[in-house]
Amino acid sequence: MINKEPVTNIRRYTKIALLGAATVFLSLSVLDPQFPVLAGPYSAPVTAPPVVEVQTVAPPPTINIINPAIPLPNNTPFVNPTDVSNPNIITGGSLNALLNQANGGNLALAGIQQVPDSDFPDFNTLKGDPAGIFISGGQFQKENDFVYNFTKGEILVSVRKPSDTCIIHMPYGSIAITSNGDVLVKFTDGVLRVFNLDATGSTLKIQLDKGPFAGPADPTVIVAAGFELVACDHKLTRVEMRPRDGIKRRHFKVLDNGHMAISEYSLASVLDASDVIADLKQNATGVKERRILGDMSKMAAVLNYKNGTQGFSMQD
Amino acid sequence: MFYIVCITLALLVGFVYYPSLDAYFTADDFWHIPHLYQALSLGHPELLWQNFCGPWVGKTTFYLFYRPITELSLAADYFLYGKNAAGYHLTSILFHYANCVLVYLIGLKILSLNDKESIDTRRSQLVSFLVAAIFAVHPCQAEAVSWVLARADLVGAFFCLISVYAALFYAENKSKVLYAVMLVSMLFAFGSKELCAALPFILLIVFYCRNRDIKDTLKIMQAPFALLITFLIIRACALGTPLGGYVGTHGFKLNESFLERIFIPYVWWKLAHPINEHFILDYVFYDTCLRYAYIVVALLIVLNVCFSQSIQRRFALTLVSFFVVMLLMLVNFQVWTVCNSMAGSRIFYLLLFPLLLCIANIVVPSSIDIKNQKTNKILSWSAFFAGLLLAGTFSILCNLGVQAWRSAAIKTQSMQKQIVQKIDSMPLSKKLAIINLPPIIDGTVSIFVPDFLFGLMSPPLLDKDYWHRIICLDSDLKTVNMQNIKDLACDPNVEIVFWDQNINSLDQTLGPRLRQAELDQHKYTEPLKIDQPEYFKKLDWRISKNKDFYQNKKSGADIATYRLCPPQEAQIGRDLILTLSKKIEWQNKKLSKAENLLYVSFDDSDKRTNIDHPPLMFELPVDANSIKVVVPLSQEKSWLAVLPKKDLRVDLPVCFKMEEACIVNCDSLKAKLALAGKIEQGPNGYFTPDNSVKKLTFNYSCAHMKDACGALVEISKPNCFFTVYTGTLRDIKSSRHALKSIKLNEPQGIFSIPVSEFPQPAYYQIRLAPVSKEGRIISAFGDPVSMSLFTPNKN
Repeated sequence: MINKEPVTNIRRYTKIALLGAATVFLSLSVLDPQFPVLAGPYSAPVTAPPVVEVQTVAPPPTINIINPAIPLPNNTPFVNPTDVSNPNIITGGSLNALLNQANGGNLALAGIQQVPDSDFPDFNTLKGDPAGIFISGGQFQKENDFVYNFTKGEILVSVRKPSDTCIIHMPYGSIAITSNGDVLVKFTDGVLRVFNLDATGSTLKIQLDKGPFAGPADPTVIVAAGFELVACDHKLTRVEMRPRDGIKRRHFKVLDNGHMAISEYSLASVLDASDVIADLKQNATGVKERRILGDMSKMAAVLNYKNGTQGFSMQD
Repeated sequence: MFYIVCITLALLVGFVYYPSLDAYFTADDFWHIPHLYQALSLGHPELLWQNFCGPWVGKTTFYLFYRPITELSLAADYFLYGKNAAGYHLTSILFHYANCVLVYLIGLKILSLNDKESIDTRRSQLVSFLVAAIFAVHPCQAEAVSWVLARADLVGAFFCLISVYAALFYAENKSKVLYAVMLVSMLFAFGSKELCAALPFILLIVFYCRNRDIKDTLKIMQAPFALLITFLIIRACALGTPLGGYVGTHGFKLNESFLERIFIPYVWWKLAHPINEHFILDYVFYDTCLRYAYIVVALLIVLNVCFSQSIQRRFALTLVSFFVVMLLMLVNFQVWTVCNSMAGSRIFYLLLFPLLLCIANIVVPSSIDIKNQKTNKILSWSAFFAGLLLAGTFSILCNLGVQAWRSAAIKTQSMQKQIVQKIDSMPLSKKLAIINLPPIIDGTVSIFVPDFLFGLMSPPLLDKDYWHRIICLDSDLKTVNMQNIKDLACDPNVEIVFWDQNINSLDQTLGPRLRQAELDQHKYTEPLKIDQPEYFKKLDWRISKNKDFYQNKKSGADIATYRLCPPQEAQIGRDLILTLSKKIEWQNKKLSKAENLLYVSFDDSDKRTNIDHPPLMFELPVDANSIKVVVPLSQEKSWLAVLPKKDLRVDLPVCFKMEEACIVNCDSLKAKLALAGKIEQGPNGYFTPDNSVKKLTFNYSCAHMKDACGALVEISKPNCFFTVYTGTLRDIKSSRHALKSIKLNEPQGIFSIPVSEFPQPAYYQIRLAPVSKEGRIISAFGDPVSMSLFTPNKN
């Protein structure tokens, strides 16, 4: 039974509004409208592309392009970069850790270049005069005139003319030093460090293919003078990246899932801090030793001049 | 009763949203997770503070939002869960549950305040419960709860609801503590989502309705409005603009289509029929249930009108609620859009509460209005069952909608894994160029901007940084830059792959096919065989639910359909040239533009292409009797798909006849523009010069185009891409969206643009078209060069 009461304007408008609402719901239940697809933010716009009139339909003519391709830089040192988990490794004070890392990392990457595995010399084919190969310090065994096994400690390897190449087998791989070059290699507590003291160009090659680096993706790299390659069987920590060994370092870049890293070091600080090089200095009569020291000193001066000394720091 | 409601809501929310615990990160999440990783794992917590002083995570290319509180919420999740997405989704579910409880409490409070003479407690509880239940399970909430970055909606709503609840109590007892809670919650709401700027106006309505004293209301509202103004000033300073919102092409398209979206009620229709049509393919049953429920609701409204003695009392609250709905809609104008997959439905999150209150209030009868107890009882029970039917249907639809997010997560992670495996199998010096990454997966937003790939392919979601070994070529959703792809195909250090969205797998044959296409570029030039056409009815594909436009088999006399079969070897980097002539009997007749449309569609009967690609449409000149048209197939992603197409379908207006059809190397039909110098193409597909580069040098050539005497160069506005405006790379007219134009007097050569010509750090496109002696554009613009120009620390 419908109640009756005086119908005021407000009541009338209210009823109309509510009946309008009821109509809306009725429409929602019975209608099946066809709405045009809207240009929403998640779909491509719907437009009709214009017609293009073409004047000629000849076979494709030769296109005279002036240098259309974008040449890639030849010296792209591409060894899979990764984010560094510890920002203290990154130098600089920028808030943008990634960018900062990119800046420091890029400079570190300047000291490393990946090369094909085939570039690494085959130790079975080495020959020549071994007289120019000099190794001191650490624990190593001689396999033959050109190949040595290094297991632990610190060794200095120097290859001079008339010798051509020397290969050192290490726990994580091998290094090949061609003349003329001096390299300092350390292996302690599972951490391998290779310091290129004065080997220029592609004189020093490192192939990591054992332990954590075994597999098809094992890298073969060239390390530039003034740079240190660090490799480890576990992810490198800050302490391992910056050990308290008296050597000043800067520009770090962690590579290969945290097991490898490249950094720039101060050759002058190595000359002072390294025990093996200190032994060399104390050898008063060795001609080879004096020549090696002389070459390293000259390289230290060249690197200081070329790259500057800003940013090197040492853990106390 | 309160505890029963809480338990019921918990069960509802748990049942509906539990699949979201298996969802992953998607879309914008991939900007935020690395940002949190930098801030909290790499030891730069000041990055969180930057959200208070600048745009949200420093992003300026896609949107300008100011949401520091939301970012703190995500930071807390990162601190607790790290990269485990389930934790973030759990937090979202908890926020949603809290919001549902608040909705119930606020509804109860409002309804008790509304009944001044006497309180119909049962009715208040019923209405509040129905509102809270439907709020909890409406399918529009699926996106807000399942998408991590929609946390802004959840957190904003949470603080808004707390503020309103505190205000309702403050209106009664004037407690300073409650006033402080109201203000603090309001402040947090402002910092959570821009929508919450409507809160002071909502509180104004609440206080006025309570007090009916404008002076007292304005006195109470002094502090909230002062807070709002202060916040807006801080926000404007932080963003560098008073408005913000979506910017660049995206923002432009939203702003341009604003009137269309407002007046076409599609968005409201999706609110009432909230079905993810990408994921739920057979939804007839659910739709039918909803329609029955709406019939019952309509009947109940009518019966309420008929039997109520003082319906206008209830209507006052309905009107106020509706006004609040409009207020919330006003703030959301720019993004007022929902797709048929329910993408974008999170705009309804908070708005649903007043809307449901508005409807429930006029559907559920009141014993105060309807004196006849028997009638009141019948109508109450009917309303309850209608509410249950709606809630039940919505909860199933919502659950299915959430399952879509779970399904998308599996596919996203599979995509990530496949890309990682592919990169790991490549030499370290090689990069992977990917194209056709899905912008939408199962109706949920995915990689629709290349920059989103950053978070997916770098720490913390992966142990290694794969982002820098990727070049993503999806700067546009629909088109490909064939010139860029061809250049990359010839680079031995790049491998190009195509993501096949139908089988969710990387197709690695694209690179060899591209290289072979380059070798064969002078082959297959003979005209294609043309059979007699068939005649069909024209479909308006825009409103057709049949996505297989190619399968149009409705016989009629609107269109003449030709099927062309280009050789499989000649389907990459080729355009189609059609020679058309008007039939004699039509030559004096003028057709309208709408009738003079040429359609070209691909055979996707085996569904090997993107799920949703419309046919290519061209407007033929209305007075042309003979014409050659270029169909730029080479720029279409769907033409680049895994298997070569079987054939093309060409629908002509019945007045035209196809005389000849040829497949032509696209390079001969457009100008070539290339960036000179050693500028690398970044992972997002944009060329990114160093800060040391002071000018950008380009090589160009259009000498092969007939009558070309010079060239026109256009630079896009910041973060705006030409393709988005017209849907094609081959524009034949200069764009009004160009920032600057440069006229070149030679058909080929080198030109430079100083970097200072670009007004701000942003993405830009540069494109070139040949011009005749008179300055008229010949043919069309060529493929653009996309650049990103940023200064350090400003990305």
